[in-house]
Amino acid sequence: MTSTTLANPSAARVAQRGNVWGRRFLIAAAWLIFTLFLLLPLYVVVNEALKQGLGTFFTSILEPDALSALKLTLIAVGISVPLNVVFGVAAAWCVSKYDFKGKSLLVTLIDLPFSVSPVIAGLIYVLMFGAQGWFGPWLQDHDIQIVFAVPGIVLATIFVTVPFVARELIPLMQEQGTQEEEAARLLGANGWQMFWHVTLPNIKWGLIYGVVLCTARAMGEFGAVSVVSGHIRGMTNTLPLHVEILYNEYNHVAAFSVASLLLALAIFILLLKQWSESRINRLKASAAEE
Amino acid sequence: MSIQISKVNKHFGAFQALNNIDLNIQSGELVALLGPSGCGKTTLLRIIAGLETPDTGRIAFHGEDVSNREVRERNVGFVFQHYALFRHMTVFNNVAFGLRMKPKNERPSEKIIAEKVHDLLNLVQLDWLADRYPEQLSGGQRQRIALARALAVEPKVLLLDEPFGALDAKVRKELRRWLARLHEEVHLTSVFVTHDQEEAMEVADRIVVMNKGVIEQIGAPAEVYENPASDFVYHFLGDSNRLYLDPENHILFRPHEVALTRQAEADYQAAEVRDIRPLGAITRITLKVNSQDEPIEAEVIKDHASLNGLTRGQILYFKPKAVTTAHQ
Ligand SMILES: Nc1ncnc2c1ncn2[C@@H]1O[C@H](COP(=O)(O)OP(=O)(O)OP(=O)(O)O)[C@@H](O)[C@H]1O
Ligand SMILES: [Mg+2]
Repeated sequence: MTSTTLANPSAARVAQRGNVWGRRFLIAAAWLIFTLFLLLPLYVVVNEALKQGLGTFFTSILEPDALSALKLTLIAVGISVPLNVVFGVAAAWCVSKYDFKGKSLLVTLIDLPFSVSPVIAGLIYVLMFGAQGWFGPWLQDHDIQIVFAVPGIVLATIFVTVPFVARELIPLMQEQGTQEEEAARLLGANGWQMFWHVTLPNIKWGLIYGVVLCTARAMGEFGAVSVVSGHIRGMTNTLPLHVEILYNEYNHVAAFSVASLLLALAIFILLLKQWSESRINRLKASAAEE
Repeated sequence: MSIQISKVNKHFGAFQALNNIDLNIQSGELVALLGPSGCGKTTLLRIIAGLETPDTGRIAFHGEDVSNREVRERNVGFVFQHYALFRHMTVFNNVAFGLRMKPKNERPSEKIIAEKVHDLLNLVQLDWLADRYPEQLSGGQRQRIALARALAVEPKVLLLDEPFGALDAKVRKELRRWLARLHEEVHLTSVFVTHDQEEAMEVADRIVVMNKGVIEQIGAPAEVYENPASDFVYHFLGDSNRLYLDPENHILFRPHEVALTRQAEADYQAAEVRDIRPLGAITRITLKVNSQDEPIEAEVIKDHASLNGLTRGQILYFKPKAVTTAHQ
């Protein structure tokens, strides 16, 4: 390749110039689309939020209902993400380190929440735990409220986020195989030591990436949570639901203020994701050098 | 520590990977498991280590049945074919791993661990690499670190799966001599897997020749070479010629066991020279006899009289010297 470039520099330059214009056009198009569909809406959100000044902005997000929505969102994230980590690591471990019947079925089932519409996921919980649901009478007898209460919201969030960590870890762990674990056992490590000192450090960045994706989804989930929530202000409202209520009440400034709070959280998560992704790529690159 | 393997069978699904394996390994011995790819060498090694469970049969260390003993309690040092070093740990931490995993009351202090690790790294002559990560090492260096790591916990038995498989010919040779010397020093009962007969002959006290899940022959290198128990062993242990006496019967002999002359003599057979290859101290001549398609190869010292002015297409006369075997 180098030799042809040297042999016929002008032809190469012409070809390259053609390339340059094509490339510039594509890049410009990409930026245009990005600006129109992503940056502009973001700008609008923030702009609307600050329309009546910072004072109104802060009143809107510090108002009790907004704070309670924030709290509920954080509770849903705080419960679903750790559970997800445990489930994801356990599932990925089973799938990548053992051979058993029904393995491919398990892998398919892990993906189910990706293919089922979140609204249907919410409805499943209503059908199961609602007053008219399968377990409804039993739950009522024992005075347990799941649907239209915090447990329902947490359950719905768990359902929609189940695949994130497992999906991230399964290919990673399959690629790494079991030899390092075997070596650890041969050197006298027990199961816990093996996991802590060998497996976990090897999957660390993939795990963080999975957690970040899972957190982002848990915070932003609307459909499934909307069905099971009942929209009781100050009680069963998460941030996305609260934004919707405010918006439907034509309280635009407040809606956009809360929305930009959600946005700030999302951007923070995005930065975390970027950082962990670059770590993973660096690890992969160094592994590929081997 | 001696190892007794009795009546071991292993299936993977319907495929029988090991068929009724019986093998006794003496304390302090260095045994080579030799056989073609897929014959079950790794499987046998993994069964000894406890990484794989046999369908039937038992493994005993020093007469004591260890079939039900967990991997971590067998006290076996294992060197994987692809080393399996812990990629996120430095060389030092890799070697220290086994010592640090010991239960609290047996675990040496960090100071003693450091001393011990440096001793081991000196033993494998790589002390200067202590702070590197596995990915920053060459294949031969990784190999030796893997060995140091396995030796750190003072195993009673050392198992090596094709320890030199992934290395180039020269490094292989160096490392295998180094391993033989190391074995002289520490005298650890060792089993190593290889599919390279030269390697097995050079390093091992005894060779176990395997084929398709069964043991074909067990014996000292000279023994299996001189008195192969089957055609398979004969062919596997070195280049061989097959000369048909009639359609049913043939004899086997090795290329260096051929006498050559330029003039017809009694018992000598005529053949056309197809190729002449100088290989250093010896020269290899490929001969074609009329009675069969399979060529005959002869190896003679490079200044052998019959080679003088020899060119392709000429006629040479050959005779198998001592025919080693005559199997059907
Ligand atoms: N986990 C497994 N599942 C199914 N088949 C297996 C498994 N492990 C090994 N085998 C089969 O058992 C046979 C013996 O395998 P093994 O790894 O012991 O061969 P080997 O002698 O070490 O070969 P090589 O020299 O290529 O390493 C092979 O045919 C292999 O396909
Ligand atoms: Mg093998």
